[in-house]
Amino acid sequence: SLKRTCGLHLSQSCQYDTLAVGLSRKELQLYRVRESGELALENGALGRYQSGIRGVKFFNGEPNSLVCCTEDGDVHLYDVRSGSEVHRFEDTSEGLKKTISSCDINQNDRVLCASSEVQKNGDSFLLFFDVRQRSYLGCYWECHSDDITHVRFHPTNPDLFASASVDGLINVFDISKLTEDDAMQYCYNVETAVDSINWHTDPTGRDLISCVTTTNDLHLYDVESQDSVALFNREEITKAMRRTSAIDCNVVGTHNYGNGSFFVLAGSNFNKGKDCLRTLRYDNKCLLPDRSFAKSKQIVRASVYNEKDQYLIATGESGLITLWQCRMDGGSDSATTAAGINSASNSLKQKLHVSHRAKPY
Amino acid sequence: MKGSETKRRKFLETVELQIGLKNYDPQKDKRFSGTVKLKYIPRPKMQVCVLGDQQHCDEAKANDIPFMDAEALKKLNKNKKLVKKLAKKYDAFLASESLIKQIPRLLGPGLNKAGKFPGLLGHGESMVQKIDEVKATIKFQMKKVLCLSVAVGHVKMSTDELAQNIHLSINFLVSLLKKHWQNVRSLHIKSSMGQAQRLY
Repeated sequence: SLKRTCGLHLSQSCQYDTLAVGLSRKELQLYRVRESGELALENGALGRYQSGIRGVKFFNGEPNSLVCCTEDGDVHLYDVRSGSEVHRFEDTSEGLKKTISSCDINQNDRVLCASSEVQKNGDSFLLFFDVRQRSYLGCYWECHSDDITHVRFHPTNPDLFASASVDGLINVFDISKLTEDDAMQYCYNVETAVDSINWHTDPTGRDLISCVTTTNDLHLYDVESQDSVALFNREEITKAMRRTSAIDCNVVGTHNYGNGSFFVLAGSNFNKGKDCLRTLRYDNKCLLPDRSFAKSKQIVRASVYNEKDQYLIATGESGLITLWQCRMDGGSDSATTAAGINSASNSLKQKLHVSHRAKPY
Repeated sequence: MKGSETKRRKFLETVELQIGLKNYDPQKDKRFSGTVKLKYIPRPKMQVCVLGDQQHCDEAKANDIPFMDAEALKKLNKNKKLVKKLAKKYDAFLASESLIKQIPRLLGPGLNKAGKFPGLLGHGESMVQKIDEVKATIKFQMKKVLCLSVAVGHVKMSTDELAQNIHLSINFLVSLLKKHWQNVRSLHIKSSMGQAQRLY
Protein backbone atom coordinates (compact mmCIF):
# COMPACT_ATOMS: atom_id res chain seq x y z
CA SER A 1 0.00 0.00 0.00
CA LEU A 2 3.03 2.25 0.29
CA LYS A 3 3.32 1.98 -3.45
CA ARG A 4 -0.22 3.19 -4.20
CA THR A 5 -0.59 6.61 -5.75
CA CYS A 6 -2.26 9.15 -3.49
CA GLY A 7 -4.16 12.25 -4.46
CA LEU A 8 -2.65 14.99 -2.31
CA HIS A 9 -3.65 18.34 -3.81
CA LEU A 10 -6.81 19.70 -5.40
CA SER A 11 -7.81 22.96 -6.98
CA GLN A 12 -10.92 23.91 -8.88
CA SER A 13 -11.04 26.66 -11.50
CA CYS A 14 -13.13 29.77 -10.86
CA GLN A 15 -15.68 28.57 -13.39
CA TYR A 16 -15.80 25.23 -11.62
CA ASP A 17 -15.49 23.23 -14.80
CA THR A 18 -11.90 22.11 -14.35
CA LEU A 19 -10.19 20.29 -11.51
CA ALA A 20 -6.45 20.03 -11.03
CA VAL A 21 -5.11 17.10 -9.02
CA GLY A 22 -1.59 16.74 -7.62
CA LEU A 23 -0.59 13.09 -7.22
CA SER A 24 2.04 11.55 -4.97
CA ARG A 25 3.77 10.06 -8.01
CA LYS A 26 4.80 13.60 -8.93
CA GLU A 27 2.18 14.16 -11.58
CA LEU A 28 -0.29 16.96 -12.13
CA GLN A 29 -3.56 15.95 -13.80
CA LEU A 30 -6.58 17.82 -15.12
CA TYR A 31 -10.19 16.67 -14.98
CA ARG A 32 -13.27 18.20 -16.49
CA VAL A 33 -16.19 18.52 -14.07
CA ARG A 34 -19.39 17.93 -16.01
CA GLU A 35 -22.82 19.29 -15.09
CA SER A 36 -23.86 15.78 -14.14
CA GLY A 37 -21.14 15.73 -11.52
CA GLU A 38 -19.08 13.31 -13.56
CA LEU A 39 -15.33 13.76 -13.61
CA ALA A 40 -13.58 13.14 -16.90
CA LEU A 41 -9.83 12.93 -17.25
CA GLU A 42 -8.70 15.67 -19.58
CA ASN A 43 -4.94 15.70 -19.25
CA GLY A 44 -3.26 12.81 -17.48
CA ALA A 45 0.13 14.47 -17.38
CA LEU A 46 -0.12 18.24 -17.42
CA GLY A 47 3.03 18.17 -15.34
CA ARG A 48 5.55 15.43 -14.56
CA TYR A 49 8.21 16.32 -12.04
CA GLN A 50 11.42 15.13 -10.43
CA SER A 51 10.30 16.12 -6.97
CA GLY A 52 7.03 15.99 -5.05
CA ILE A 53 4.17 18.40 -5.66
CA ARG A 54 3.61 20.77 -2.75
CA GLY A 55 0.79 22.98 -3.96
CA VAL A 56 -1.69 23.38 -6.79
CA LYS A 57 -3.77 26.53 -7.32
CA PHE A 58 -5.98 27.85 -10.07
CA PHE A 59 -6.09 31.61 -10.48
CA ASN A 60 -9.02 33.34 -8.80
CA GLY A 61 -10.32 35.24 -11.80
CA GLU A 62 -8.75 33.46 -14.73
CA PRO A 63 -10.17 29.99 -15.38
CA ASN A 64 -7.35 28.73 -17.60
CA SER A 65 -4.30 29.61 -15.54
CA LEU A 66 -2.89 27.42 -12.81
CA VAL A 67 0.27 27.30 -10.69
CA CYS A 68 1.93 24.22 -9.29
CA CYS A 69 4.90 24.24 -6.94
CA THR A 70 7.26 21.36 -6.31
CA GLU A 71 9.54 20.51 -3.43
CA ASP A 72 12.76 21.24 -5.31
CA GLY A 73 11.83 24.91 -5.51
CA ASP A 74 10.11 25.31 -8.86
CA VAL A 75 6.85 27.17 -9.35
CA HIS A 76 5.24 26.30 -12.67
CA LEU A 77 2.58 28.33 -14.46
CA TYR A 78 0.29 26.47 -16.87
CA ASP A 79 -2.25 27.38 -19.47
CA VAL A 80 -4.74 24.53 -19.33
CA ARG A 81 -6.04 25.18 -22.84
CA SER A 82 -2.71 24.47 -24.48
CA GLY A 83 -1.76 22.05 -21.73
CA SER A 84 1.68 23.55 -21.56
CA GLU A 85 3.90 25.23 -19.02
CA VAL A 86 4.06 28.90 -19.94
CA HIS A 87 6.49 30.05 -17.28
CA ARG A 88 8.64 28.86 -14.44
CA PHE A 89 9.05 31.40 -11.66
CA GLU A 90 12.65 31.80 -10.65
CA ASP A 91 13.73 32.50 -7.10
CA THR A 92 16.56 34.95 -7.49
CA SER A 93 16.98 35.50 -3.76
CA GLU A 94 20.32 34.94 -2.11
CA GLY A 95 21.59 31.48 -1.40
CA LEU A 96 20.70 28.07 -2.69
CA LYS A 97 17.33 27.18 -4.19
CA LYS A 98 14.85 26.71 -1.39
CA THR A 99 12.73 23.63 -0.81
CA ILE A 100 9.13 24.71 -1.26
CA SER A 101 6.28 23.62 0.97
CA SER A 102 3.19 25.50 -0.21
CA CYS A 103 1.97 28.24 -2.56
CA ASP A 104 -1.00 30.52 -3.11
CA ILE A 105 -2.03 33.41 -5.32
CA ASN A 106 -3.70 36.59 -4.11
CA GLN A 107 -7.27 37.71 -4.76
CA ASN A 108 -6.51 39.74 -7.88
CA ASP A 109 -4.06 37.17 -9.30
CA ARG A 110 -1.18 39.60 -9.22
CA VAL A 111 0.98 38.24 -6.43
CA LEU A 112 2.12 34.67 -5.96
CA CYS A 113 3.63 33.44 -2.73
CA ALA A 114 5.62 30.27 -2.19
CA SER A 115 6.72 29.18 1.26
CA SER A 116 9.81 27.19 2.10
CA GLU A 117 10.90 24.61 4.59
CA VAL A 118 13.54 25.63 7.09
CA GLN A 119 16.87 25.79 5.27
CA LYS A 120 20.25 24.64 6.54
CA ASN A 121 21.08 28.07 7.95
CA GLY A 122 17.87 28.11 10.01
CA ASP A 123 15.90 30.49 7.79
CA SER A 124 12.39 29.87 6.47
CA PHE A 125 11.21 31.92 3.53
CA LEU A 126 8.08 33.41 2.06
CA LEU A 127 8.94 34.13 -1.57
CA PHE A 128 6.84 36.62 -3.52
CA PHE A 129 6.48 36.84 -7.29
CA ASP A 130 4.79 39.35 -9.57
CA VAL A 131 2.52 37.21 -11.70
CA ARG A 132 2.11 39.65 -14.61
CA GLN A 133 5.76 40.67 -14.78
CA ARG A 134 6.67 37.06 -14.05
CA SER A 135 9.44 38.32 -11.79
CA TYR A 136 10.68 37.73 -8.29
CA LEU A 137 9.55 40.48 -5.91
CA GLY A 138 11.30 39.69 -2.67
CA CYS A 139 10.91 37.59 0.44
CA TYR A 140 10.14 37.54 4.10
CA TRP A 141 12.51 35.45 6.17
CA GLU A 142 12.31 36.51 9.80
CA CYS A 143 8.85 35.48 10.83
CA HIS A 144 9.17 31.71 11.17
CA SER A 145 11.84 29.46 12.63
CA ASP A 146 10.80 26.10 11.16
CA ASP A 147 9.11 24.60 8.07
CA ILE A 148 6.29 26.80 6.83
CA THR A 149 3.48 24.38 6.10
CA HIS A 150 0.78 26.53 4.53
CA VAL A 151 0.26 29.97 3.03
CA ARG A 152 -3.14 31.44 2.32
CA PHE A 153 -4.17 34.77 0.90
CA HIS A 154 -7.36 36.44 2.09
CA PRO A 155 -10.30 35.65 -0.22
CA THR A 156 -11.24 39.29 -0.91
CA ASN A 157 -8.44 41.55 0.32
CA PRO A 158 -5.53 41.28 -2.14
CA ASP A 159 -3.03 42.59 0.43
CA LEU A 160 -3.80 40.29 3.33
CA PHE A 161 -2.03 37.01 3.73
CA ALA A 162 -1.37 34.38 6.41
CA SER A 163 1.36 31.80 6.91
CA ALA A 164 1.52 28.81 9.23
CA SER A 165 4.44 26.74 10.42
CA VAL A 166 5.67 23.75 12.36
CA ASP A 167 7.00 26.36 14.82
CA GLY A 168 3.41 26.79 16.05
CA LEU A 169 2.89 30.31 14.73
CA ILE A 170 0.37 31.79 12.35
CA ASN A 171 1.48 35.16 10.98
CA VAL A 172 -0.82 37.62 9.23
CA PHE A 173 0.75 40.12 6.86
CA ASP A 174 -0.30 43.20 4.91
CA ILE A 175 1.92 42.88 1.87
CA SER A 176 1.25 46.45 0.75
CA LYS A 177 3.72 47.59 3.44
CA LEU A 178 7.33 48.15 2.46
CA THR A 179 9.22 45.96 4.90
CA GLU A 180 8.64 42.60 6.55
CA ASP A 181 8.62 44.28 9.96
CA ASP A 182 5.85 46.65 8.93
CA ALA A 183 3.95 44.01 7.01
CA MET A 184 3.63 41.71 10.00
CA GLN A 185 0.24 42.57 11.50
CA TYR A 186 -0.66 39.75 13.87
CA CYS A 187 0.89 36.62 15.23
CA TYR A 188 -1.01 33.77 16.87
CA ASN A 189 0.91 31.22 18.87
CA VAL A 190 -0.90 27.92 18.50
CA GLU A 191 1.91 26.36 20.57
CA THR A 192 2.01 23.21 18.43
CA ALA A 193 2.84 22.49 14.77
CA VAL A 194 0.23 23.81 12.34
CA ASP A 195 -0.69 21.79 9.26
CA SER A 196 -3.12 24.06 7.40
CA ILE A 197 -5.04 27.31 7.75
CA ASN A 198 -8.15 28.91 6.26
CA TRP A 199 -9.94 32.24 6.29
CA HIS A 200 -13.54 32.59 7.45
CA THR A 201 -15.91 35.33 8.51
CA ASP A 202 -18.14 35.36 11.55
CA PRO A 203 -21.85 36.29 11.25
CA THR A 204 -20.99 39.98 11.76
CA GLY A 205 -18.41 39.91 8.97
CA ARG A 206 -15.28 39.85 11.13
CA ASP A 207 -12.33 37.92 9.75
CA LEU A 208 -11.49 34.63 11.41
CA ILE A 209 -8.61 32.26 10.83
CA SER A 210 -8.86 28.57 11.54
CA CYS A 211 -6.03 26.10 11.65
CA VAL A 212 -5.71 22.33 11.74
CA THR A 213 -2.70 21.17 13.72
CA THR A 214 -0.52 18.16 12.93
CA THR A 215 -2.19 16.49 15.89
CA ASN A 216 -5.68 16.90 14.42
CA ASP A 217 -6.92 19.74 16.61
CA LEU A 218 -8.80 22.77 15.31
CA HIS A 219 -8.12 26.30 16.54
CA LEU A 220 -10.08 29.42 15.60
CA TYR A 221 -8.89 33.02 16.01
CA ASP A 222 -10.55 36.39 15.57
CA VAL A 223 -8.02 38.10 13.33
CA GLU A 224 -8.22 41.69 14.52
CA SER A 225 -8.70 41.16 18.23
CA GLN A 226 -6.24 38.24 18.11
CA ASP A 227 -8.44 36.37 20.57
CA SER A 228 -8.72 32.63 20.48
CA VAL A 229 -12.40 32.12 19.67
CA ALA A 230 -12.59 28.34 19.88
CA LEU A 231 -10.41 25.30 20.31
CA PHE A 232 -11.42 21.73 19.55
CA ASN A 233 -8.97 18.96 20.29
CA ARG A 234 -8.93 15.63 18.50
CA GLU A 235 -11.08 13.98 21.17
CA GLU A 236 -13.74 16.70 20.94
CA ILE A 237 -13.82 16.53 17.16
CA THR A 238 -14.14 12.75 17.29
CA LYS A 239 -17.05 13.04 19.70
CA ALA A 240 -18.75 15.72 17.63
CA MET A 241 -18.61 13.49 14.57
CA ARG A 242 -20.15 10.67 16.56
CA ARG A 243 -17.13 8.42 16.42
CA THR A 244 -15.36 6.81 19.36
CA SER A 245 -11.73 6.32 18.42
CA ALA A 246 -9.89 9.61 18.72
CA ILE A 247 -6.59 8.02 17.75
CA ASP A 248 -8.02 7.33 14.29
CA CYS A 249 -9.58 10.73 13.68
CA ASN A 250 -8.23 12.43 10.57
CA VAL A 251 -9.08 16.10 10.23
CA VAL A 252 -8.83 17.06 6.56
CA GLY A 253 -9.58 20.78 6.65
CA THR A 254 -12.29 23.43 6.63
CA HIS A 255 -14.48 24.96 3.91
CA ASN A 256 -16.78 27.96 3.77
CA TYR A 257 -20.45 27.40 3.02
CA GLY A 258 -20.62 30.77 1.33
CA ASN A 259 -23.33 32.08 3.64
CA GLY A 260 -21.12 33.20 6.50
CA SER A 261 -20.56 29.85 8.15
CA PHE A 262 -18.04 27.10 7.64
CA PHE A 263 -17.61 23.38 8.15
CA VAL A 264 -14.86 20.99 9.14
CA LEU A 265 -14.21 17.91 7.01
CA ALA A 266 -13.00 14.89 8.97
CA GLY A 267 -12.65 11.18 8.44
CA SER A 268 -10.95 8.21 9.97
CA ASN A 269 -7.69 6.36 9.46
CA PHE A 270 -9.32 3.17 10.67
CA ASN A 271 -9.85 0.50 8.05
CA LYS A 272 -8.22 2.73 5.43
CA GLY A 273 -10.84 5.40 5.97
CA LYS A 274 -13.72 3.33 4.64
CA ASP A 275 -17.20 4.63 5.19
CA CYS A 276 -16.17 7.54 7.34
CA LEU A 277 -16.18 11.02 5.89
CA ARG A 278 -18.20 13.62 7.72
CA THR A 279 -18.65 17.34 8.03
CA LEU A 280 -19.16 19.33 11.19
CA ARG A 281 -20.79 22.73 10.97
CA TYR A 282 -19.23 25.46 13.11
CA ASP A 283 -21.83 27.43 14.99
CA ASN A 284 -21.10 29.79 17.84
CA LYS A 285 -18.20 27.91 19.40
CA CYS A 286 -19.72 24.50 18.74
CA LEU A 287 -19.15 21.81 16.15
CA LEU A 288 -22.44 20.26 15.08
CA PRO A 289 -22.92 17.05 13.09
CA ASP A 290 -23.71 18.00 9.54
CA ARG A 291 -23.26 15.54 6.69
CA SER A 292 -22.05 12.01 6.35
CA PHE A 293 -20.71 11.02 2.95
CA ALA A 294 -21.60 7.41 2.47
CA LYS A 295 -19.38 5.00 0.59
CA SER A 296 -16.20 7.00 1.10
CA LYS A 297 -13.45 4.56 0.26
CA GLN A 298 -10.22 6.14 1.34
CA ILE A 299 -8.33 8.21 3.84
CA VAL A 300 -9.01 11.71 2.52
CA ARG A 301 -6.07 14.07 2.16
CA ALA A 302 -7.37 16.96 0.07
CA SER A 303 -10.74 18.48 -0.70
CA VAL A 304 -12.44 21.38 -2.45
CA TYR A 305 -15.94 22.65 -1.92
CA ASN A 306 -18.05 24.41 -4.52
CA GLU A 307 -20.10 26.97 -2.57
CA LYS A 308 -22.29 27.85 -5.53
CA ASP A 309 -23.36 24.37 -6.58
CA GLN A 310 -22.77 22.82 -3.17
CA TYR A 311 -20.65 19.84 -3.87
CA LEU A 312 -17.54 18.45 -2.30
CA ILE A 313 -14.68 16.84 -4.18
CA ALA A 314 -12.22 14.77 -2.20
CA THR A 315 -9.13 12.74 -2.96
CA GLY A 316 -6.79 10.70 -0.85
CA GLU A 317 -4.68 7.68 -0.18
CA SER A 318 -6.33 5.22 -2.54
CA GLY A 319 -5.93 7.54 -5.52
CA LEU A 320 -9.65 8.00 -5.96
CA ILE A 321 -11.37 11.33 -6.71
CA THR A 322 -14.94 11.48 -5.56
CA LEU A 323 -17.63 14.15 -5.98
CA TRP A 324 -20.55 14.33 -3.57
CA GLN A 325 -23.45 16.53 -4.52
CA CYS A 326 -25.42 18.07 -1.69
CA ARG A 327 -28.79 19.46 -2.71
CA MET A 328 -31.13 21.08 -0.27
CA ASP A 329 -34.79 21.56 -1.06
CA GLY A 330 -35.09 24.76 0.89
CA GLY A 331 -36.84 23.01 3.73
CA SER A 332 -35.69 21.47 6.96
CA ASP A 333 -35.46 17.92 5.68
CA SER A 334 -33.02 17.83 2.92
CA ALA A 335 -33.80 15.81 -0.15
CA THR A 336 -30.26 15.34 -0.84
CA THR A 337 -29.05 13.29 -3.70
CA ALA A 338 -25.47 12.69 -4.13
CA ALA A 339 -23.75 11.38 -7.14
CA GLY A 340 -20.38 9.97 -6.30
CA ILE A 341 -18.04 9.18 -9.11
CA ASN A 342 -14.84 7.41 -8.39
CA SER A 343 -12.08 7.82 -10.85
CA ALA A 344 -8.94 5.77 -10.50
CA SER A 345 -6.25 8.17 -11.47
CA ASN A 346 -3.84 5.65 -12.83
CA SER A 347 -6.16 4.44 -15.55
CA LEU A 348 -8.69 5.97 -17.87
CA LYS A 349 -11.48 3.74 -16.60
CA GLN A 350 -14.41 5.40 -14.94
CA LYS A 351 -17.09 3.94 -12.75
CA LEU A 352 -20.38 5.70 -12.24
CA HIS A 353 -21.91 5.28 -8.82
CA VAL A 354 -25.37 6.65 -8.18
CA SER A 355 -27.44 7.37 -5.12
CA HIS A 356 -24.74 7.99 -2.60
CA ARG A 357 -26.57 9.95 0.01
CA ALA A 358 -25.02 12.90 1.72
CA LYS A 359 -27.35 12.96 4.66
CA PRO A 360 -27.35 14.65 8.05
CA TYR A 361 -26.55 12.35 10.96
CA MET B 1 20.67 5.22 34.41
CA LYS B 2 23.35 2.80 35.53
CA GLY B 3 25.69 4.05 32.88
CA SER B 4 25.54 7.58 34.14
CA GLU B 5 26.30 6.47 37.66
CA THR B 6 29.52 4.76 36.75
CA LYS B 7 30.97 7.72 34.92
CA ARG B 8 30.35 11.11 36.51
CA ARG B 9 29.61 13.84 34.01
CA LYS B 10 29.85 17.57 34.57
CA PHE B 11 26.37 18.12 33.18
CA LEU B 12 22.95 16.64 33.79
CA GLU B 13 22.51 14.01 31.11
CA THR B 14 19.25 13.95 29.24
CA VAL B 15 17.40 10.71 28.65
CA GLU B 16 16.01 10.39 25.13
CA LEU B 17 13.40 8.17 23.62
CA GLN B 18 14.37 7.10 20.11
CA ILE B 19 11.61 5.84 17.88
CA GLY B 20 12.21 4.08 14.58
CA LEU B 21 9.26 4.00 12.18
CA LYS B 22 8.21 1.61 9.44
CA ASN B 23 5.51 1.57 6.74
CA TYR B 24 5.62 5.33 6.72
CA ASP B 25 6.51 7.42 3.69
CA PRO B 26 7.52 11.02 4.57
CA GLN B 27 6.77 12.02 0.97
CA LYS B 28 3.20 10.75 1.02
CA ASP B 29 2.01 10.42 4.58
CA LYS B 30 0.84 13.28 6.74
CA ARG B 31 3.60 15.10 8.58
CA PHE B 32 4.45 13.46 11.87
CA SER B 33 5.05 16.19 14.44
CA GLY B 34 3.53 17.81 17.49
CA THR B 35 3.95 18.66 21.14
CA VAL B 36 3.03 16.72 24.26
CA LYS B 37 3.03 17.60 27.92
CA LEU B 38 4.84 15.09 30.13
CA LYS B 39 4.10 14.41 33.77
CA TYR B 40 7.59 15.14 35.09
CA ILE B 41 9.87 17.92 33.87
CA PRO B 42 12.58 16.50 31.59
CA ARG B 43 14.66 19.69 31.48
CA PRO B 44 14.60 21.26 34.93
CA LYS B 45 17.19 23.89 34.06
CA MET B 46 14.98 25.51 31.44
CA GLN B 47 14.75 29.29 31.91
CA VAL B 48 11.40 30.97 31.31
CA CYS B 49 10.90 34.73 31.28
CA VAL B 50 7.55 36.42 31.81
CA LEU B 51 6.57 39.41 29.67
CA GLY B 52 3.86 40.68 31.93
CA ASP B 53 1.24 43.25 32.67
CA GLN B 54 1.32 44.84 36.12
CA GLN B 55 -0.35 41.90 37.82
CA HIS B 56 1.88 39.30 36.22
CA CYS B 57 5.05 41.27 36.89
CA ASP B 58 4.11 41.46 40.58
CA GLU B 59 3.45 37.74 40.66
CA ALA B 60 6.76 37.03 38.89
CA LYS B 61 8.66 39.23 41.33
CA ALA B 62 7.08 37.46 44.27
CA ASN B 63 8.09 34.08 42.86
CA ASP B 64 11.62 34.97 41.82
CA ILE B 65 10.77 34.54 38.15
CA PRO B 66 12.56 36.74 35.59
CA PHE B 67 10.17 39.24 34.00
CA MET B 68 9.89 42.30 31.80
CA ASP B 69 7.05 44.77 31.49
CA ALA B 70 5.87 46.74 28.44
CA GLU B 71 8.15 49.66 29.30
CA ALA B 72 11.21 47.43 29.43
CA LEU B 73 10.28 45.97 26.05
CA LYS B 74 9.73 49.42 24.55
CA LYS B 75 13.25 50.36 25.70
CA LEU B 76 14.65 47.76 23.30
CA ASN B 77 13.40 50.08 20.58
CA LYS B 78 12.85 47.16 18.20
CA ASN B 79 16.64 46.91 17.90
CA LYS B 80 17.26 43.56 16.23
CA LYS B 81 20.50 42.90 18.09
CA LEU B 82 18.93 43.57 21.47
CA VAL B 83 15.90 41.44 20.71
CA LYS B 84 18.18 38.63 19.56
CA LYS B 85 20.14 38.96 22.78
CA LEU B 86 16.94 38.74 24.81
CA ALA B 87 15.87 35.66 22.86
CA LYS B 88 19.18 33.98 23.57
CA LYS B 89 19.03 34.72 27.27
CA TYR B 90 15.96 32.56 27.92
CA ASP B 91 14.73 29.19 26.71
CA ALA B 92 11.09 30.28 26.50
CA PHE B 93 8.76 33.19 27.15
CA LEU B 94 5.26 33.60 28.50
CA ALA B 95 3.28 36.79 27.98
CA SER B 96 0.11 38.35 29.37
CA GLU B 97 -2.74 38.68 26.91
CA SER B 98 -2.40 42.44 26.58
CA LEU B 99 1.32 42.19 25.86
CA ILE B 100 1.28 39.16 23.59
CA LYS B 101 -0.87 41.06 21.11
CA GLN B 102 1.72 43.81 20.90
CA ILE B 103 4.80 41.66 20.43
CA PRO B 104 5.16 42.28 16.66
CA ARG B 105 4.80 46.01 17.22
CA LEU B 106 7.07 46.16 20.29
CA LEU B 107 9.79 43.78 19.24
CA GLY B 108 9.42 43.04 15.55
CA PRO B 109 9.96 39.45 14.32
CA GLY B 110 13.04 38.73 16.46
CA LEU B 111 11.34 36.28 18.79
CA ASN B 112 9.64 34.59 15.81
CA LYS B 113 12.98 34.03 14.15
CA ALA B 114 14.51 32.63 17.32
CA GLY B 115 11.62 30.19 17.69
CA LYS B 116 10.76 31.80 21.01
CA PHE B 117 7.51 33.62 20.47
CA PRO B 118 5.81 33.72 23.88
CA GLY B 119 3.04 31.42 24.95
CA LEU B 120 -0.09 32.92 26.45
CA LEU B 121 -0.19 33.47 30.21
CA GLY B 122 -3.75 33.85 31.37
CA HIS B 123 -5.00 35.34 34.58
CA GLY B 124 -6.87 32.31 35.80
CA GLU B 125 -3.86 30.08 36.24
CA SER B 126 -0.89 29.99 38.61
CA MET B 127 2.25 31.34 36.98
CA VAL B 128 4.47 28.71 38.57
CA GLN B 129 2.17 25.98 37.34
CA LYS B 130 2.11 27.39 33.83
CA ILE B 131 5.91 27.60 33.79
CA ASP B 132 6.15 23.99 34.92
CA GLU B 133 3.80 23.12 32.08
CA VAL B 134 6.09 24.82 29.60
CA LYS B 135 9.09 22.99 31.04
CA ALA B 136 7.24 19.67 30.82
CA THR B 137 6.23 20.10 27.19
CA ILE B 138 8.31 18.43 24.50
CA LYS B 139 8.22 18.94 20.73
CA PHE B 140 8.96 16.29 18.16
CA GLN B 141 9.18 16.21 14.40
CA MET B 142 9.91 13.51 11.86
CA LYS B 143 11.70 14.78 8.82
CA LYS B 144 13.15 12.74 5.99
CA VAL B 145 14.72 9.90 8.00
CA LEU B 146 12.45 7.35 9.60
CA CYS B 147 13.61 7.91 13.15
CA LEU B 148 13.27 10.62 15.69
CA SER B 149 14.44 11.34 19.16
CA VAL B 150 12.68 13.14 22.03
CA ALA B 151 13.99 14.21 25.41
CA VAL B 152 11.81 12.47 27.98
CA GLY B 153 13.80 12.95 31.15
CA HIS B 154 17.17 13.24 32.83
CA VAL B 155 19.41 10.84 34.75
CA LYS B 156 18.54 12.22 38.19
CA MET B 157 14.87 11.28 37.83
CA SER B 158 13.56 8.22 39.62
CA THR B 159 12.99 5.16 37.46
CA ASP B 160 9.29 5.42 38.12
CA GLU B 161 9.12 9.06 36.98
CA LEU B 162 11.13 8.25 33.88
CA ALA B 163 8.93 5.25 33.14
CA GLN B 164 5.79 7.38 33.39
CA ASN B 165 7.20 9.98 31.03
CA ILE B 166 8.27 7.30 28.57
CA HIS B 167 4.86 5.65 28.74
CA LEU B 168 3.08 8.93 28.07
CA SER B 169 5.34 9.82 25.17
CA ILE B 170 5.03 6.44 23.50
CA ASN B 171 1.25 6.40 23.79
CA PHE B 172 1.02 9.88 22.35
CA LEU B 173 3.35 9.19 19.43
CA VAL B 174 1.58 5.93 18.62
CA SER B 175 -1.82 7.67 18.72
CA LEU B 176 -0.67 9.97 15.95
CA LEU B 177 0.59 7.25 13.65
CA LYS B 178 -1.90 6.10 11.05
CA LYS B 179 -1.41 2.40 11.81
CA HIS B 180 -0.35 2.94 15.41
CA TRP B 181 1.96 0.15 16.60
CA GLN B 182 2.22 -1.24 13.07
CA ASN B 183 4.16 1.90 12.17
CA VAL B 184 6.70 1.38 14.97
CA ARG B 185 9.80 -0.55 14.08
CA SER B 186 11.81 0.01 17.27
CA LEU B 187 12.05 1.95 20.52
CA HIS B 188 15.22 2.75 22.40
CA ILE B 189 16.09 4.87 25.38
CA LYS B 190 19.45 6.47 25.72
CA SER B 191 21.16 8.86 28.09
CA SER B 192 23.33 11.55 26.48
CA MET B 193 26.58 9.74 27.04
CA GLY B 194 25.33 6.22 27.54
CA GLN B 195 24.43 3.29 25.37
CA ALA B 196 21.07 2.89 23.72
CA GLN B 197 18.81 0.31 25.31
CA ARG B 198 16.10 -1.36 23.28
CA LEU B 199 12.54 -1.27 24.61
CA TYR B 200 10.67 -2.63 21.62
